[in-house]
Amino acid sequence: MMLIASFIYVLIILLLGSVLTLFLTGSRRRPLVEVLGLIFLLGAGAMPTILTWHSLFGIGPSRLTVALIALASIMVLINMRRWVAARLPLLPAKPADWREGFLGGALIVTIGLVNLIVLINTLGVPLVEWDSFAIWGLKAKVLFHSPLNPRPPFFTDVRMTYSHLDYPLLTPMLVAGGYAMIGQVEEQIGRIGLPLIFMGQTLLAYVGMRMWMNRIPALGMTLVLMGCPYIVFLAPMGIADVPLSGFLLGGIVYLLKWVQSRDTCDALICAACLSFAAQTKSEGLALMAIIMLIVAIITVMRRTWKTLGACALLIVLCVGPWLIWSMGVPHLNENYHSQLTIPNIIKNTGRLSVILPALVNHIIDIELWGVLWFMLVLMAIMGFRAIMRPEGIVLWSLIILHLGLYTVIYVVTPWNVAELINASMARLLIHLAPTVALLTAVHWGAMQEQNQEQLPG
Amino acid sequence: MAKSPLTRAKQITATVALILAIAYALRGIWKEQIIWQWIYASLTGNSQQVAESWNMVDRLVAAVPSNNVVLRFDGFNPNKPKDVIDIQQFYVRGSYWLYPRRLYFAEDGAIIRTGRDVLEAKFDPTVGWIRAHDAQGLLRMVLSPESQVSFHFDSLPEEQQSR
Repeated sequence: MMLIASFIYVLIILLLGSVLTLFLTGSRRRPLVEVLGLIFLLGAGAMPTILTWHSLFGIGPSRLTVALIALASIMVLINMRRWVAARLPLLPAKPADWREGFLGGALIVTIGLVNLIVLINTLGVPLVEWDSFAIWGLKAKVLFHSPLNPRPPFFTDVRMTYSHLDYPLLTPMLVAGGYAMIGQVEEQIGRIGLPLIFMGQTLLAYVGMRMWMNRIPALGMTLVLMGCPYIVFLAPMGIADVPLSGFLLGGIVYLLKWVQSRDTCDALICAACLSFAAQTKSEGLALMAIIMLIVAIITVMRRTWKTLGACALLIVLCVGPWLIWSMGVPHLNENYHSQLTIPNIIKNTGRLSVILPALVNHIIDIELWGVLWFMLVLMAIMGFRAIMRPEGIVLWSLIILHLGLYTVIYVVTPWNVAELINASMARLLIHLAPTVALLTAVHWGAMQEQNQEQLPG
Repeated sequence: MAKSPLTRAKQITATVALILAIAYALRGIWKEQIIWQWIYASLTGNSQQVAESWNMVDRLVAAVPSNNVVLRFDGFNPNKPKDVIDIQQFYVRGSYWLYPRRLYFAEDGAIIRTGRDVLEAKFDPTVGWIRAHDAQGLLRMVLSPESQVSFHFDSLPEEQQSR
């Protein structure tokens, strides 16, 4: 019975994702893999966002709220059936010869197996990783048992400071929705929504790679990213780092698509993914601000004010309610805004001698990342021209700003910096992995073009 | 049209690098034993074995005959990292497992980031405090001088409960 209820929850998430995909993809026909990736990622981001809105109105997650979301989605889809018809058939894939077909098939099966591993371990393994129960699992229980309005005593009980009371609530709310559907706290089946983010990330990673790579290399690079041992290990655990990396990937892919296409719909999808990232982890909020700054600079250069306005509105709508609510929660752990002062940064610059070597050591750790980072270095050398292209500039800027942000956090942190690095740096690099993989693809594409230019005649 | 040697070399290097990257990723997953232990446990229905160390805490707090649980630590030293980790594992896991019932390990208003904060707060609740927090007794986690950890539950006296 619980399995059936959780399966229905998945279907409703996908239904909601379909509605959003329909709204946000505009009139352009898109390939099946892209549409599926969007349905998974947008659905898994929108469901907890809507449940949070309900909860802020005093209605905690329940079968009724989820059923209402399903009903609304079905009504929208029925009313928009002409829109649906206009987008069908989806763009067909280019036919492949037998060699490409065989290799591609093998890679698709392997990528599928990685996703299957994550699915099995999500549904099969209880919460055993420290943060998974101390922070995220506990919050999922709190959100399941009481709505956010009136504020549950948990969120003002400073004894629970260790649980990071002010952390964003998207991941635990997605799990709380699962608990609501099965009617009880069952930490394995209740996490059914999490693999959807991983699957969406896998599909959109491929979509992103395909912008610069042919089919086989794109599949290979997708496998290199999604098959990072550390990501496969952490993804089932219900901690927010892997979902954050998924939403960031969606945001960055559609930022790059928008840079190329100038289609407002791509910018809106980017904004939606980033708003989900902001609700997933505090780092997501900072990274959303960085990426939206890039969007703002480009819109100013292109004078497309409506696009900027629409993106800002979408973000305010999604993130605003939770952000306002979270102001009433004690910020007693990091509270980095108050630490970010010039005197504090100058005072702690000596920490760089600990932070930078640790950063390099983590990046070159092949047990965690395979050779993802080495690939980037190699391709950056061979396809160096991409550095001067818009997508290269955007992605390199993102990597530098991203690493800069985390370095500054370590510089100002009130915690013991060596202990904090040990506990968190590998996880922070998960957030960066999609950008690294996409940048590798960009340089790969530039290398191919250079090769073609070098052909005689 | 023949490709230049440089072009061919780049193409081959990139392809080999990608194949190596895929192989390394798959090798990494293959070598990550815990992933396969989890899969085995999931598929054979032994998933609770994976959480055996936490299950001990879960069973212990679940067995306490009290609605909410008030917990005090005796004999632990805030300056000993092992002591700090031991009690941290107990109250963090216990708080998760019991919720929506509560596990109280410090005074109201005490800011607890780590186990050291708990030990330094020297929580010693009165009978009135325990009763006011809807608990029926005090659970003590005791570290003996011989480094043995034991648990004791002291029920509130009947007359005090009814008072």
